[in-house]
Amino acid sequence: MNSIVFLVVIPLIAAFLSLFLGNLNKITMYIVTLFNLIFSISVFMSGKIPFNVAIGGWKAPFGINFVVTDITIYFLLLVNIAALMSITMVKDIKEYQFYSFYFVLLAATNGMVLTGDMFNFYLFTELSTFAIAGLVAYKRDRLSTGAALKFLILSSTASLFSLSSIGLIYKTLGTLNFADIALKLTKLNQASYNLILILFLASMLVELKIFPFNLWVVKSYEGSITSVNMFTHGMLGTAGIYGAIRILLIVFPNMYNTNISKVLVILSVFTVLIGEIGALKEKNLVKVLAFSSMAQMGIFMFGIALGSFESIKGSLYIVVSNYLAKLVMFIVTKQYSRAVDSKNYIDMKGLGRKYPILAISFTIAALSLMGMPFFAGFWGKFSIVISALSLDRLSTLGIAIILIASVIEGVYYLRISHTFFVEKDVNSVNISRVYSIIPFALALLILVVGIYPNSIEQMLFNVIDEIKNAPNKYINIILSLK
Amino acid sequence: MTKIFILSSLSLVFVGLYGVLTRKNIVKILIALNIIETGINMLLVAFGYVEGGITPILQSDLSIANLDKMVDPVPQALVLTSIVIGLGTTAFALSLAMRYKDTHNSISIRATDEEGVNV
Repeated sequence: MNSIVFLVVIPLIAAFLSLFLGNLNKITMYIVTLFNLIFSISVFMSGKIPFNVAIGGWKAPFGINFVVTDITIYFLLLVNIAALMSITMVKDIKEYQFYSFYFVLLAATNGMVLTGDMFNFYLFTELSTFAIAGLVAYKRDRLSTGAALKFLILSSTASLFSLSSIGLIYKTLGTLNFADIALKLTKLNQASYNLILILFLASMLVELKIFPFNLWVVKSYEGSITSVNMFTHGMLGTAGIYGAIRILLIVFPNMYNTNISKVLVILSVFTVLIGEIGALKEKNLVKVLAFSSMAQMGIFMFGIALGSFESIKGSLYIVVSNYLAKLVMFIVTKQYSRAVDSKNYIDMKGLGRKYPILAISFTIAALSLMGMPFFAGFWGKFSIVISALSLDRLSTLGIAIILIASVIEGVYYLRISHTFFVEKDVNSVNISRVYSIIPFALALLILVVGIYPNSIEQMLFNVIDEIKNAPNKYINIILSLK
Repeated sequence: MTKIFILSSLSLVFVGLYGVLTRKNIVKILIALNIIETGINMLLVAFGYVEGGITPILQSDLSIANLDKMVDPVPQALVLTSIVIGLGTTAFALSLAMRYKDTHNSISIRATDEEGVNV
């Protein structure tokens, strides 16, 4: 399966070509995204997973390699599906900069998921950062320029720290390959281990929107167009989650013996609190979604930081539910705000009565994020609560705060849903009913996962299994050990 | 010798970090970012340095005999890549700074504060 590199190469070629294609760019965008999606589906169906591709024929610890395992292919599908859904929101013809940055983002997020090399991961992270900053700045007004510049400064400072941690890894272990690092990690003393992990976390927490590093989130969401919001959420966010799972759980699995996991627990609880309280007093629907996505990432990180397999399973449910729900909410927000020409949800009164499918999809997504039973988010919070209560006092306190914060989340989301259904004359408003199809399908998917969790249980089991048996399922495949 | 390199590179990193954290002028922040980056590049090169080492090029049988005296070429390759990345960041950020000047009529990073995002 050497052709897996096409997932990165073809978008990069398209990024160059988009400078010259002019009006053909929109068609190219669909073709390339569909190619990536169909290619990853065909890899998923081929039954050859897991496999390892050594680029240029240089065997694993010496050259750069792309790895496809169960975790990789699931996240690859998530990234490419999010890409396809986001570009359906691009209505008018944009200038070439938009398409060029989009293709770079597509290549970078696919590369982040595929790569098995630390330095390569850093490069793709940087590349996706550029692309997002460029896409945020595309609107060219005051707000988006400031947001893009702040995001660029914050994330490039953080990524310089991760570069120094890569240098330290090379100095101490003499390798940059994920699997080789994981194999040799026992030779590292505690102090260097902590230093490397802290430096590397600095860059990862920026993309995961965890508390001291998340000051860019609200402005970038507010300053950019809807499709860019969906790129940030569905592509960059998902690839960041993949990085957290791969690096924290498989490459550096000893994190739970140190205090770093406790620090992560505290940071994620703060993230949840700040996100929910910030969203409570916002009237701008896009800002509400930005704060809420911060809070969801906090819950995800809380589950990862607890470290039991039950809580990791909960985190994966949170990832699925947040991924689906936010896509629904962004699409609904786009349609409603375009109809009334305002992003303030108070102005959207009565739209739920005229276009009930959109409003019902929004409500289903909101209930899922809150963690109501029969919706996908319930199983995530359920697993995290169970495992947090069986652990030490800190995590019990943390889960108590998170549950209180979920009540706050319920308050503002249900307030928004209620506003949609308030009676008001909206005859002048016109939304094509075609746009209801995607959000409604996604909302149905949330319900299916919530009522019948066995539908994705097997996939989550595969992910957990790969984390549990990392030596057999990941390291030996790459280094071809027996 | 290696210690001098590591110490000087770390001091460059902290000088740059101070600049990023305290300056308000965007151009000064970007210069400070470049200083951090230079420091980290120097750190990487220092990690591959060997006392009295020779260039890592295999040209004759004699040089194969001296493999253990060669400096490590991998950090140098990493540094080359990261220099290119740094160039890209700086160019892109400076072009954004130009547009920032147009839209805000100022190059102070505080100029965005008045938009009322209370984070």
